[in-house]
Amino acid sequence: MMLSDVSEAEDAAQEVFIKAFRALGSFHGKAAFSTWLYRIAVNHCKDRLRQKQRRKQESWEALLEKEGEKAEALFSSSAPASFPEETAELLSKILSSLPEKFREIIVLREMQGLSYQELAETLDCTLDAVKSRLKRARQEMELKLRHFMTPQTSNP
Amino acid sequence: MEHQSVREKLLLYKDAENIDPQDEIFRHLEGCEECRAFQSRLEKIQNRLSSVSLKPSPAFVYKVMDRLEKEHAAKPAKASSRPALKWLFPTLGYAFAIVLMFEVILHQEIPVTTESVLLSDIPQEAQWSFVAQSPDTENLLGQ
Repeated sequence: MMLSDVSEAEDAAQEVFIKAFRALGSFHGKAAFSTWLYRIAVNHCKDRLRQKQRRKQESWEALLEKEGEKAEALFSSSAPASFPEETAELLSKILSSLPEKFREIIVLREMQGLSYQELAETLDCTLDAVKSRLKRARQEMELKLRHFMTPQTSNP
Repeated sequence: MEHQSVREKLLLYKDAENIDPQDEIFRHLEGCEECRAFQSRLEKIQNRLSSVSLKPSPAFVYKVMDRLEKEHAAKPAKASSRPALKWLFPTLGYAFAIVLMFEVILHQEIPVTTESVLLSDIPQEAQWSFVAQSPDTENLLGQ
């Protein structure tokens, strides 16, 4: 989901497994195996994103113009998405408009469900940095997506 | 409590392990529609994101395994992590053979025959110095 294309994500996942296989000797068990694997995945995605950014980057405005209706349909309803793959692709496009640091923490926390401790180990930062980054990332997401959500009140 | 500080708290509130129902944030939310809407939007975004479960294509595992097998096959036979071991057994073998050879040479008595002594140009004293004990030869020479 860090990459804005499902097939590209699958290619990247393959690469991550190959890299992990090659680097197995460097895994000393200091962190959980999953954390080690996530770290490889995050670094690999960052590299790919940097390569992509050199080529082109779709602006948020262009994305809104193209996908605005779909985004509105997705966020104005709380029903399960009818086309999971399309939904995933749309969400990854939305995420790709976030700065890299925000995108990776949103993906790891909201989609992969990593704990704060795991996030700190994967992203190689402190717990305070995790909290601060997650706060700002969520704020940024809310700011971008609030226009697609019909105002409604909720009971606390 | 100000809206801004409530929203700051709400951004991480869902992650908190122990939520205190008496927290003043709830009192604020009861009376503030804007902050409730903010909370609702956050929850919607989080729910949407967490509901995505991407499954790899059925061929994914085969593709990865195929690549791993190819990579494994293409990799040249890895040299032993302790290259000394590679030479240890032949070296020990040679060393043993050399020690054995020296043992045999040092303990071997040089056979001295009458013919070899009589026909040799080397002075006899020099020849006898090689042999520790040669009473029979001396007797022969005496005759």
